[in-house]
Amino acid sequence: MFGLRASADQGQPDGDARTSAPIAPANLLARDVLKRRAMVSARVVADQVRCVECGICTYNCPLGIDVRRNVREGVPISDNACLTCGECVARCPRGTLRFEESSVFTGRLGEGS
Amino acid sequence: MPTRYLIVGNGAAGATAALAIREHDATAEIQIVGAEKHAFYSRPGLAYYLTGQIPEGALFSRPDKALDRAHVERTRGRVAAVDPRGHRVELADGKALRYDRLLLGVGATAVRPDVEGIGLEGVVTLDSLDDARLILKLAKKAKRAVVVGGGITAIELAEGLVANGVTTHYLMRGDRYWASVLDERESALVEARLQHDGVVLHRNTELGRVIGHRHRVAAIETRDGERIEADMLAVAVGTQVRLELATQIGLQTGRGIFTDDTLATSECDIYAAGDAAEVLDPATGRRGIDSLWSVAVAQGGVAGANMAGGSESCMPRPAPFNVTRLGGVTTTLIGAVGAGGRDGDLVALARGDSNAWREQLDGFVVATESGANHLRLILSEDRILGAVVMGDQSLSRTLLHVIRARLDIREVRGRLLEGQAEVRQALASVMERAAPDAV
Repeated sequence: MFGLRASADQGQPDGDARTSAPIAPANLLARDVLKRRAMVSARVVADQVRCVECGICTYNCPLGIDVRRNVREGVPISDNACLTCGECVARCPRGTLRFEESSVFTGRLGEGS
Repeated sequence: MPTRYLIVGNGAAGATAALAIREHDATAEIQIVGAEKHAFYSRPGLAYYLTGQIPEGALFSRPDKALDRAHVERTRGRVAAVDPRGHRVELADGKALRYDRLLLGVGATAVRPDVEGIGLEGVVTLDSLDDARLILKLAKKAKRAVVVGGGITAIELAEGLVANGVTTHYLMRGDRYWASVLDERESALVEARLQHDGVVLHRNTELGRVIGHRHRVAAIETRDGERIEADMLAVAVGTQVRLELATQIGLQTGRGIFTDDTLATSECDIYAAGDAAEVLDPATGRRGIDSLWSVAVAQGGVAGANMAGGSESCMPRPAPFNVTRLGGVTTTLIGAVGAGGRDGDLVALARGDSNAWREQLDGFVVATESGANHLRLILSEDRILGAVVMGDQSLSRTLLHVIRARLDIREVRGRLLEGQAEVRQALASVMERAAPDAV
């Protein structure tokens, strides 16, 4: 659980995790669920015109997906079994990559809440 | 007989053109001649190689396989001369190559200010992978460095040196950073980040001369006579197009190689693209020159298609756009954002730079700020002329679209003046009216 949370935090440096006041365990869990839900319901999409092929995304992908190549060739990153860990999104210096809500999952997740 | 295409320069424009030619001409003979010993790599990525965010290998964005598959032949060499009548090119090693169509994607090179000692060892610029390698090698031993210049490259050099543990002094000729493009607040945001990272800023300070010891940089002296000890001097005062070949051929040139909107030069069967091309916009009669990756890629595609018989135009020129990290702050510049300040740090266009950003159109400026984020819009009566987005980038995609599509903003103009939260909704309604299905 903590491993997952840590990687999600890295993926979203502007998130509240590091700046907020100490939180009760119950809240921690709730936030973790939220994070996980965000990760599952989102996919990484690219804005090709911003890309300069520097390769930070590809270099940092824990699965070894050649994100840069997908961007250049216009192939969705979700085609490559992407975990949406957010490493590439957080590190792209040019804001090329972002999370976009995936309609595949949103409906189903909505039911549980 | 298959058509022979020769491309001079293995940069973004040249490599893209090669693939575009192949798409249009299956039997073509395509050859790229490049002076560098490296395969195709990302030039903008050099900044992140300097800071250690990526290893060198990550820069090679297009494996040779892609060019092999397209049957593009690559030759390392320097073109010494072109004979346009005979359609022949002569390499420095004496070899001659025939062409039916020639593309000059020769790029630009850093200018060095004309001061005493500028040729000393330890004076560096950032044009190429070899330059970046040299900087890293020198930075290993260097304790102190001075950076002079402006624009994006100067910041990249300063950040790269600091990241390698070198105490770095950045000299600005004026009282703030990139005054011709950024407004005072934006400059201050970047400067604060640089200082936070450990860069020592010197305002109103101009490089006087470089002082050497045994042919190496030992210190610099400012115009005012102040001496700053340094083992390295990094220079980013602008770039100049490599015009030697164009001049030798007799092409029409200005700051760059003159082309029309199809990227044809003044000589039959010779084209130019990328940083080297100064392109005429037939609608305005004005010429534009950019040093932007996305523009080079786009122009490479247009030039390649046209060399293979197409009739594509790279006009109307979309509002130039770049996004970069300025001292750690992600910054997007779109369209005409000129802040009107004088920028003495650059003597010419820098890398990642566009003339269009300096244009000051008659517009109304709105600047809003929340936390570390900053947004500046330049509005005319009916559209957005330019934008600077620093920090949070969630608006920049929409803004790029609204500016490039020249969408009418009259209905929401009042709301755009009211700050960031309103801007988001106002832009959304502009987009929706323009293309209800797309939103």
